[in-house]
Amino acid sequence: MDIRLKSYKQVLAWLCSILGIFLIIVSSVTLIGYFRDNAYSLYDVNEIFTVDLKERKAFKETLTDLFELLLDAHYSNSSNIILLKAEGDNLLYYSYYPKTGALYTNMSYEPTFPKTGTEMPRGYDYCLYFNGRSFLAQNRDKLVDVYDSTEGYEYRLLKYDSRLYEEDEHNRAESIRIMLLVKEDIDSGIEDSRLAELKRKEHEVKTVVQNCIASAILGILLLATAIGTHRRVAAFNKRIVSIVSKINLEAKLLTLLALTALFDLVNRSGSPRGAKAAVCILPVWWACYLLADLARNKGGFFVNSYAYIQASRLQNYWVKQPLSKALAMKVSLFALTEALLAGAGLFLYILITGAGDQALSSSVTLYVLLAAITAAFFYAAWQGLDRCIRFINGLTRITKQLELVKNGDFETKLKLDRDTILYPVAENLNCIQDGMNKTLQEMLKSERTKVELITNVSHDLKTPLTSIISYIDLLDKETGLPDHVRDYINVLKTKSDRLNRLIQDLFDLSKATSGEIKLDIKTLDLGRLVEQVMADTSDSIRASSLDFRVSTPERTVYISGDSNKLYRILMNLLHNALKFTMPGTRVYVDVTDDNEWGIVEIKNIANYEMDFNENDILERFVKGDKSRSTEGSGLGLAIAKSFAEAGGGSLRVEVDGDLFKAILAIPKAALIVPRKSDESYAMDQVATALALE
Amino acid sequence: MTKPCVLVVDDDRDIVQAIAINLEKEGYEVLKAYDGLQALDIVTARDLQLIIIDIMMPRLDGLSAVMKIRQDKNIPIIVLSAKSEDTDKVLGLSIGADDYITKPFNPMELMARVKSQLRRYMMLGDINKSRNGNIIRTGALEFDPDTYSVTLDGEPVSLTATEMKIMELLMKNLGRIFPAEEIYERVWGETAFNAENTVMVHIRRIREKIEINPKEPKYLKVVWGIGYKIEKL
Repeated sequence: MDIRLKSYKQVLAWLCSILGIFLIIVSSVTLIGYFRDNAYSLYDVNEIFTVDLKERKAFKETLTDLFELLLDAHYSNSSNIILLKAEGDNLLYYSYYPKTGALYTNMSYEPTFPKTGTEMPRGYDYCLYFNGRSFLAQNRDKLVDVYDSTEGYEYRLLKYDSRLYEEDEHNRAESIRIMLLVKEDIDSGIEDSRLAELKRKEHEVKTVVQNCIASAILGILLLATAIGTHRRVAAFNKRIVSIVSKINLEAKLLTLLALTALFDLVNRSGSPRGAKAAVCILPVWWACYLLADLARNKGGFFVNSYAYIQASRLQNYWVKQPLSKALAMKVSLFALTEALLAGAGLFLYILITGAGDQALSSSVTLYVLLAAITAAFFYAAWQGLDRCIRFINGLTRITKQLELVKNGDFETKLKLDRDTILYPVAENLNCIQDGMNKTLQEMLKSERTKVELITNVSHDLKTPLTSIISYIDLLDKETGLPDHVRDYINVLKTKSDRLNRLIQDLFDLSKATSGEIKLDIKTLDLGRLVEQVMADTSDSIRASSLDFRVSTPERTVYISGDSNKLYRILMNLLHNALKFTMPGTRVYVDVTDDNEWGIVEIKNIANYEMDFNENDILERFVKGDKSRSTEGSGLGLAIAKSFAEAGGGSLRVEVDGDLFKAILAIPKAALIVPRKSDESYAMDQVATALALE
Repeated sequence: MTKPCVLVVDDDRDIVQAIAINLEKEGYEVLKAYDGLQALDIVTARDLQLIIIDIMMPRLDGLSAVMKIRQDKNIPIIVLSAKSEDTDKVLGLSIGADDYITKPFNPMELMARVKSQLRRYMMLGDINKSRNGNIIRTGALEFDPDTYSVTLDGEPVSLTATEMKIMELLMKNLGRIFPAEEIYERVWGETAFNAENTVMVHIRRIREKIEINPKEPKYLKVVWGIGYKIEKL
């Protein structure tokens, strides 16, 4: 199908729907408004359409009213006659009161008052007469009950009767005669005539109702057509919505306000209700399109607006600002917005309620504005609260992230929304994490390479050394060698042994410092460990000129550590003491403990001047020059220190003059330890536990 | 009985040569190979009593060779390696080696281990014969409570009375750790005082008699910080 034709049909269908709704609303508002204005009930309207004018209640009331006016004219108000005269041709009247001789009439003849029914002159078909005895109402040739209800009728008659009795008790029948005649075709042109007015009203009601119903039917038909082609209507509505969506949000809202203001103007100008309703539809219609736009475009609805563009520019500006400044600006902007909105709302509220101006207090525009401002106030407050909560959430997450980073997790990244104020902070944190991760990876890599290198080197050193040792041994077994050759061989033997130890020590140390070491942590008795190590070295101790003073605490000190590594540490410390202690002096080995640590302290008097730094001695290959040339690798203390640290403990060295002090601290076991009396039991427990493992 | 035949495998010819000299001095027949594949060829071709094999070798490494050999041979294998980590030792022993010696080694120690392995291998039948109820056995170490004697690889070990009492206590409770005080109280029958040193001296002497390398004991071990035990093997 041709696109233009298609769109033409769409427009037609859409116009049908619009016009249909317009017509239905305008006509129904007009109709209802008309009834309300004229205080018509549905019954009245029904009567107008179904019953002849002269049978209507309103007609009867008017007529009886006129009758009573005529009656009253004889007693009090002779001026009532003016009202009857105003009826003109529509009403003929005759009223004669013999007592006073007063006669009011516009008839050209004297009517007769038969007991039942009367002949009416030409052109007149409704008659009301009273001949002193009876009150009769006659429509054409039928008698009618003008007072509708029997009770009312009798009451009225009684009222007349009593008055008449009072005046002329004996000859009441002859006392008064009244006749009213109504024209067959009431002339609605007579201005002051109540009967004409009645007819005019009837005509008006009929016209209005007919017109309204006709237009409503037309509207329904149009609407039905539109519903029949609802796809086209929907399509065209969609097109309108898409056009609407291209309009700037502020323009849309201002249009809505302008339409509301237009309605206000029309509403106050005293235009007909239909027009008011028609104008009222406009803002509602527009609002419907806005809502449809909102429903269709969701967030996009707000994007196409000056405020949004400014806000996003501000957002971009904020992102570049330092956090504290951005935060301060945001908070002040929030406070300013809220204050302005609150002020505007208050002003409007006072304007509406306090001014006492009818026009202002009934202005829909102002109410709409007030509602919009209130909504904006709460929306801003909600947004502010939301931002605040998000800020706190962000802070919490950053804190958690920091905790993670502290605990060494460099992989998990913090993902915050791009529009939160904390986004740059999170990004910085992520950068730091990345950096640290990279550094860590590089460090690990270099450590691994180092360990690999050392493993390979030590392997490559060991293989030739094996040959050397083996052949030295073979040489040693040769017989008949001269003494000096045997001396050479001995030198070779000692040095190759030392080289062997050195390589092993180097290997151990590099492993311990690079964290490659595997620990087998168990609960141990520190005092016993020291005693065992002392016993193990007892030969060397006995061979030296030194006196070892060992003191262990009364109660057992349970520590947790790798027993082989601890043995190595203590061995190294003892050998250190054996080597570097002034001959003939005492070496003190003290086992103590505090809350966290089991402590072994070894004190000795150095056999050389200790001109080194306390920390340097624990480093690799640093030690007194003297020892360097003799046995040992020079790595003993360094190994002891790395082993101690690998097991969570520490090794310190203090030098005070010639006093050398090595302090080894090992973490205590977390196990709840029975007291001295239960010691053997505890021992068994520990032993069993170990055996089980 | 013919001379026991020993296969020495190492990619370093000098080391093979040195070991061979030592072995020949002890009166063994020596075969040499310089990589894993050669070793496998010899193993299939010859009737061997012992293999000494290096781990890191070209063509086929020692561990793979050991696994191949173990598929159909039960001869003792001593692994010789520069890898001195505990994990390396555990790996070597668990895939079927009978002993593990780290380089550089003491030739005397190697010879002692060779002898120990050969003795055990050759006398396997006799061991089965003497298997009567009361004998407590761990590895190649046996304690017979009836005759009150200790044998190692089937050969009697001479121990003093005190040493024998300590052995009895530890052998009867294989794997259990005894603090020095308990050993002292149960062996000497006195309240312990400065027991550690005394017990340690005896332990060391026993080790010298039953261990090939007393510095790296196989049976009688110190559990540092707790006590002493004989390993259940």
